[in-house]
Order: sequence, then C-alpha cells, then structure tokens
Amino acid sequence: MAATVQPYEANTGGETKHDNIGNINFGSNDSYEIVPATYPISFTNSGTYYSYEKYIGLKISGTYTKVDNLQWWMATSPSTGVSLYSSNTANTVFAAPVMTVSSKATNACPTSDPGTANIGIGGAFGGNSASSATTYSNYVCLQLRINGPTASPGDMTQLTFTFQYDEQ
Amino acid sequence: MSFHWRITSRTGEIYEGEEDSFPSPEQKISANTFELFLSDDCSIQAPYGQNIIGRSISLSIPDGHCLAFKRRVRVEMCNGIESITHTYIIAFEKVEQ
Repeated sequence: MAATVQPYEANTGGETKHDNIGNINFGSNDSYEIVPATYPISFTNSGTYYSYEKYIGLKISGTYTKVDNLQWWMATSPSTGVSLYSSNTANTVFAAPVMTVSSKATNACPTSDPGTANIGIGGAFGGNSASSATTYSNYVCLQLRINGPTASPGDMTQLTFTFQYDEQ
Repeated sequence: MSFHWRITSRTGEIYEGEEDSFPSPEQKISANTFELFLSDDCSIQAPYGQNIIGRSISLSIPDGHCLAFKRRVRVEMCNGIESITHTYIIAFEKVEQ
C-alpha cells in the first residue's frame, strides 16, 4: 500500500531502460552498473576527458494516491580533478549517450537538498504521478569530467547519490 | 516503517487508514481531528514549524482549514547500499471560501 520509487538508467540509441539500478558507476562504456575496472576512463596529464553520459530517472510504481516533488543531489565531493555535471531541465530528452563533452550535462550538480523538485514528471518539475500509475520520470543527464593535469589515476572517491520524493 | 491514521470529521464520522494508505482528498477536507500512529520513532513535521521525533501525534484542524498530510522519503545510495529515511509532514491549508 505504498509507492515504490526506484532509480532507473537508459542506455544505447534504443533507449533501453534498466529498472532499480544498484549504482551509478561512470566509465568508458554505455551500460548500467558498469564495473569501472573493466571500463576505466583513460587520461593523460593534459586535456579534459569524459565518461559516457548517463541518463538517470526515477520509476514510480506500486499502490499509491500521488507522488511528486522528485529531487536528487550528490553529496560528498569528487576526487581532485574530477567534476560531475548534470542537466537541469525538467524535460531532458534522451539521445544516444556520448563519451565526448555533453551538450546536456553542463551544470554543476546540486550538492544538498535543493528544496524544490529538480526531476521532471511529464516534462515539468511540478508534475506528479497519481492513482497507482507506473511512471518513468524525465531524465537527469550526468557526465563525469576529468581534468588531466590535476586528476590522479585509480578509483575516485565514492559519491552518495540521494533522491527524495513526497507521497500522499 | 509503517503508519496508520484516524480522522474524525466535522460531522462525527471516523475514518481510519489501513497500513501505509493515505487519506483521500475528501477525508482531508472533512477532517476535524487527525491522529497519526507510527510503528517506530520517526521525524514528524507538524504545523506551525514544530519538528518532533515520536510515534504518534494528535491534532485539531482549525476552522476554515483542511488537512495536508504526506510522507517524504529520502533514499541515499552509496557503494550499492541504500539508506532510507522517512519524514511525515502535516500541515493545515486554508480552504477557499
């Protein structure tokens, strides 16, 4: 008798959606729950390097009246020389993920509770899902950027991804 | 973490919510008193800026207002581990005459 809200990720030009992903690992392959050691991002000490974009959203299902106010943020700071960028529009449209500079993930990620919705439903931050409908939210596009001169090789700091929603 | 609730309407009817269900818009509009019971201690944001930790709360809804009640769910993911916290939010909303 409650909503189930789980993160999902879409990959490939076919926009294949994978529900209830267990992590958001960035790397050199367009797939979900990747193993970074298998798909590392190679870089040298000059230039900027990019992970594949990740299209993340929330899937709403279960038995509920209304779910709204979807929010996300990424607490903790990435390692030196590593930056995480995101889209910030309610209706981020999917495109085949790229490993070059993203045209969508161009904003600094929120690092604390944004206070208002920052994941769209139906193309609007003020949108909602109601009456036990199974709904996929709009996307947040994420991309990791590595600054070659300052980044260090190896695993980066683990980040905490937080999402939040209201149910009524 | 589960909850149930009881609303006594302004005309004396009693409505009770099954576990983890929410009152309907009609029940919230009709509410005179609202009682919330939680299975464990949890954060409750009550009207007028009161934030408490507890398992139950009982409120009277002022004239000209209706009940707003929702659960805010926060999920933190790190290294494949999920941590979930709930906050129950209760407010009074002015009814347009």
